[in-house]
Amino acid sequence: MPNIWITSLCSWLLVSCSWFCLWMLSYSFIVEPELAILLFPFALRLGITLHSEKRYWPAVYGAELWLMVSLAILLEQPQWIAVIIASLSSIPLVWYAQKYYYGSQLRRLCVMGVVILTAALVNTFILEFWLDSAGMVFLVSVTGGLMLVPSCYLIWSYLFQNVWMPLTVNLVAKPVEMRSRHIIFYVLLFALNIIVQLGLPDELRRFAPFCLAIPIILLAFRYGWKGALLGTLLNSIALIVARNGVSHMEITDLLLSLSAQSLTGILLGMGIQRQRELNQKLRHELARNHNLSRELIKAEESVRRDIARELHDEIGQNITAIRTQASILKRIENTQVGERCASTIENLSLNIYDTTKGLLTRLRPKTLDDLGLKEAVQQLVRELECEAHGIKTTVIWNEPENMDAELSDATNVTLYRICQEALNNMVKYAQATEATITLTFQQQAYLSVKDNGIGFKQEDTLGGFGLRGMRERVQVLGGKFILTTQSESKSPGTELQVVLPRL
Amino acid sequence: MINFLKSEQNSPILDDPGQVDALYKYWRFHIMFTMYIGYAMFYFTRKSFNYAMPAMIADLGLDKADIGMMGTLFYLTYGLSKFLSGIISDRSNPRYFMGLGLIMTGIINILFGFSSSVLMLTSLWVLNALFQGWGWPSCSKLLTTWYSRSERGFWWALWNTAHNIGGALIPLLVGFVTLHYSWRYGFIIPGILAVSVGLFLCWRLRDKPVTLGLPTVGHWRKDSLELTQENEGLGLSSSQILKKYVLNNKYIWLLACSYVLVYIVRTAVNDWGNLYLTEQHNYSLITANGALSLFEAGGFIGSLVAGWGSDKVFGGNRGPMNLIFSIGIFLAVAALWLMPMTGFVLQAACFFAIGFFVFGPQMLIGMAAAECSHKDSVGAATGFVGLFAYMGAALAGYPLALVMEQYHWNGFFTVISCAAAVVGLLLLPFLKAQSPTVQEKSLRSEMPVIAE
Repeated sequence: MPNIWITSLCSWLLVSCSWFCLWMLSYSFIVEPELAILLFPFALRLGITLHSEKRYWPAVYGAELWLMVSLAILLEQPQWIAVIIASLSSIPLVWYAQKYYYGSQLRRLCVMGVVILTAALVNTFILEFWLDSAGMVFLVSVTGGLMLVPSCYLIWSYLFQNVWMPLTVNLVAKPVEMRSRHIIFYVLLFALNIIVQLGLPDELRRFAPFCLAIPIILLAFRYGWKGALLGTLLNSIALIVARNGVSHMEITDLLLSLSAQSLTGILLGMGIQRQRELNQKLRHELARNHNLSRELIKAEESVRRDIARELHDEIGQNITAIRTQASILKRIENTQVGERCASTIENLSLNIYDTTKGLLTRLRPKTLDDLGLKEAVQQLVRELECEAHGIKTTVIWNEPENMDAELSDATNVTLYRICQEALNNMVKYAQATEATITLTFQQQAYLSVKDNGIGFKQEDTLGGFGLRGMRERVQVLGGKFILTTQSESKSPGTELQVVLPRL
Repeated sequence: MINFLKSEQNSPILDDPGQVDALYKYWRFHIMFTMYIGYAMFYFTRKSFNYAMPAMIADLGLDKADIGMMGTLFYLTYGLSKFLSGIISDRSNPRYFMGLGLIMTGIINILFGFSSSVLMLTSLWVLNALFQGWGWPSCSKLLTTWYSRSERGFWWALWNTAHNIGGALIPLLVGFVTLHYSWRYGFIIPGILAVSVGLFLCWRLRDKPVTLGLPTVGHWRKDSLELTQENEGLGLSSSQILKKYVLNNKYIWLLACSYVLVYIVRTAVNDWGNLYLTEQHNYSLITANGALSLFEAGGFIGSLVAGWGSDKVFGGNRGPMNLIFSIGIFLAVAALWLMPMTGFVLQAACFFAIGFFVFGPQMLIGMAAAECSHKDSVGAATGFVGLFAYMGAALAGYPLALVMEQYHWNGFFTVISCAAAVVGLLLLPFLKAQSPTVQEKSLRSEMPVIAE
């Protein structure tokens, strides 16, 4: 396939150019040409090979070897054989690491970390024979790796893992997506950082490093570890710009601060991202839980309705039939015993009928199905004989003209039951003279039941099953349940407020 | 307008597929070849001044300010002319438009060779800029009508290298002629060459494929993307097209803004590079020019790599390659800036790298502009971004000189590295524009991976 040759050639050119530029940059910081190779160029090669297929490795390693040999000849430093060995020794390492390099970002980052560390150790081991400063070799390798390998991952994941479609003239219709405010903000922050690093007087030297943390934290908070990495790269530029000498200690200081802040940034970002992911998962689970409970309530209501209908239709008719038969029996039977038996049958069946009717109302408010919520609530007021108990009751119904959707069965039943429970309590305990029931439907359904009775102690009511069950049900449906009571003040009373989402 | 400049009427469609194939193959090759020669020749008549300048200063006693003014006027006129002739060229026949433009620049160069007064030289040079602008829009029109979407990256890149060939040959030619004869021949000889090549263009170029009775290139190559673009906005008038697809197209504006910055870098390195090398690193002029010529060589290779990569690796989307190359520009400029030692090979390699990375976006942005606009406004769209490009080039002249006066070379490099960094930022919306479906491929991707 000729394609791979052309691709290899192109990659070779691209890698060569970037490698050379990066070498030049690292050389200007470190001043030692050989160590400079270990800083950025090696890290670039490591990042690229880790993210590319093995068939492109010859191009990448070819570019590196070619440049190292030519630089060695150009600068007349033949001992670079050590660096060449170090370069070649990374082949089995990356080969082996690629086997484990898949899956989640966290896993990939861990593999990257291990690879960077191992490569640094190998470099130190090999170069120990030629150079004295083993610590420096290790530090340089780790610093470069921390800065460039994750960046390679970013470029790889954003640019090479997408399926790209050519842009076409349709673009005209698309708005430009550019968060210019964010970009300007971060650019300003970056510029400020450089100014702070450059311009602070010596007395404020302790303050300067802390300024580096601000963009890292901001970016990490917003965009996770990728943002933090970007922040650390920008910081590195600021640090490099502000460096103030080429002595050995100063270079060590620069490298140490570069790697420390890169590490901080990536770890912090990763931590935040992990927390956020867990949070997301939790939220997801909660939402699922809610949904399930809601479904449960719906299922329960529908089962209740079915049973109620069945009971009503079957048992009601059969009992009527039994009673008819019993009364016929009573008429044609002339023995005492027979007549008494027939009366007993009639009474017993009447009993069953009454019990079933009570059961039916508890199972499913039949009036709700027959009359609708509004009428059912009014019927409720009548049934409980509020007026007879001396309670003046008003029902206020606020419904917009254009209700776009019907209330769901679960909402209807819940509202009805809450009304029922609240009115029951009121009639039994409150000794009220006035009561208002308000139902308002907007984005959500609002119910308020208010009386001017004597109120109660919080722990009393919630002890029973009635209101507590209602409260749980409302919460499951994603609503709010607020019960306020005032027993001692001048205007005593109880108010129950319920907000239910319209499902 | 003169009649023959107008776009030709469509000929009756040929229906023999064999004949269509043969004609397409023949003309695609020949048009590319002719355009290539033609555009390189435009460079001959454009850059002749830059390289004959030192001799002219000595001979005519010209001022540096005169020369700076001529340069700035040239760039501005050239940019404007590119835009205006882009609008006109959408409705004209590139065969005569480009050919005539080249002949005119040749004639002006010859006249320039005979002139001596500053006023005459300046006005002739501005007139030259006007006709120089006739080359690019015609080429972009030909490139978008004869080559289809899926292969254009490569063809456009190939054509784009004419910039570098022209730019690399002209210093040699003018240098040689000036050294052995006089600077006047340094204008007359390229002028004569340009006139003859211009006649050649009029003879060998053709208008759109439909005027030869061929189907459009989208139909011929069965390229669905190309067909979409051909069918977009049918039945609009040309001023509506211009308004909707060029002037009100935000993406074209973004491209134009990033093009300004790319051209600041390109022109700054190209025009000030030898001064930097001679002042800062004590090069002789000849070695400095030698290092600079590697800038063009790098550009030659860079545009081929960028064009090919954006076609094959990124499926014809110019965004990702642009981003990679703009990161590269930043690194390369920083490398040249911070280079702690003097060494011809090292500096030349740096110039090579800058050229390599600069000419990627230099080409891709122009191409993206052509592709983001209407088929009948290609010339206008490329001309529009070209106008901005040369405003950038003008910025790299006098204003950059002011910066250098104040802050020296550090200021110079700060400006161009910032420009390089902002190029990347401005191109980010293009990555978002397609809202791609991120697919973590379960296996290792079958696409090659070349991280920056």
